[in-house]
Amino acid sequence: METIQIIILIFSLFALSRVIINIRQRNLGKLEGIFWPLFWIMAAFVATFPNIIVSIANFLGVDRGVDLIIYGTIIILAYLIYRLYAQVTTIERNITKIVRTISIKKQNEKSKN
Amino acid sequence: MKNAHIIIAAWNEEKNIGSTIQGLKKEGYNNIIVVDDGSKDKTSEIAEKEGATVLRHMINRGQGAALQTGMTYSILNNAEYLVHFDADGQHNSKEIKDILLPLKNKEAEATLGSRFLGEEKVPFRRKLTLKTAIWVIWIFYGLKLTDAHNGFRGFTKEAARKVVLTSDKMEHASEVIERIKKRNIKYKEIPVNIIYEDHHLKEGRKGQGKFDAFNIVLKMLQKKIWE
Repeated sequence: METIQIIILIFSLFALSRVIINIRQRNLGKLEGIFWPLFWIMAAFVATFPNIIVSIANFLGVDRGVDLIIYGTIIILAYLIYRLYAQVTTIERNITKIVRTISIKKQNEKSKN
Repeated sequence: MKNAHIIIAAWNEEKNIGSTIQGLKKEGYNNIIVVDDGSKDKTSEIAEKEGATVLRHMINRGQGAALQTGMTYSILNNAEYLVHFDADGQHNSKEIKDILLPLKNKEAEATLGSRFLGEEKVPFRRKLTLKTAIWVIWIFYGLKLTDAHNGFRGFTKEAARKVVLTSDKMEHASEVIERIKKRNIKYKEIPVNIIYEDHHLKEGRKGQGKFDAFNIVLKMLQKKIWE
């Protein structure tokens, strides 16, 4: 086993433990609760048996296993950024709604007095 | 003009807000709604002292958010006509009657101020940016206007109900136009003069600088794709 494999394996297991803690504390939604454990289990698996990824890469028409991992990672990251963008937009809008409601409520109270 | 509400979004405008409100009062507008968008200075105090109704955002949410707060409040308080007006003295309070007239005559439900319809006094670089914005708006929304991103506008109550702004920051100006197009609001452009003084051009951060323009187009694109 190469050093890099060991590092990835240890990191994946560490990340997996954090995910499990978060699931226990119910901080993750249903989809995320399925996606993240699977993601890190796969990362640990691929780090341990890198030849598997080579076969999958060849099957998909990609020459090197590493290339397949990079392509896959970019797609996943892009999707996660999109999700974050959507969530941030919703949060921003909700903050504005709260700030607006408070400001109008305070003014109404003031004009009553 | 009892039933016209003048809505002013103000962020750190203690230097200008007093004289702006005085100018409006002189013209007989008494329903002045100042939305203090989380100012760190005395904007609220001064506006209250001058007799405006002050709504206070506890944190800064942007001009679009502030204007929508003012509109929501005015609609709840039975305004018949709503006017967006600048806090820093770029708009002329004498021209509000021109903005209101087509609304009262039922010629239009929304009036948009245009600095290029009448006598032009626009600095060249500003003009270049604005003319580009006009093209962008035409491409995006299919509305050919003579001015874009002019903050001087009027709405009837019904139109204001249809124009609900969700863009918090500067891109609300494009959103107003998008709503007008989407919800078939009858609009008219009205010639207005925008007063350019040194401090207006210097305080680019508050208005729309070059980078803001880029950001606005980016946000418009995002909205178009994702919504």
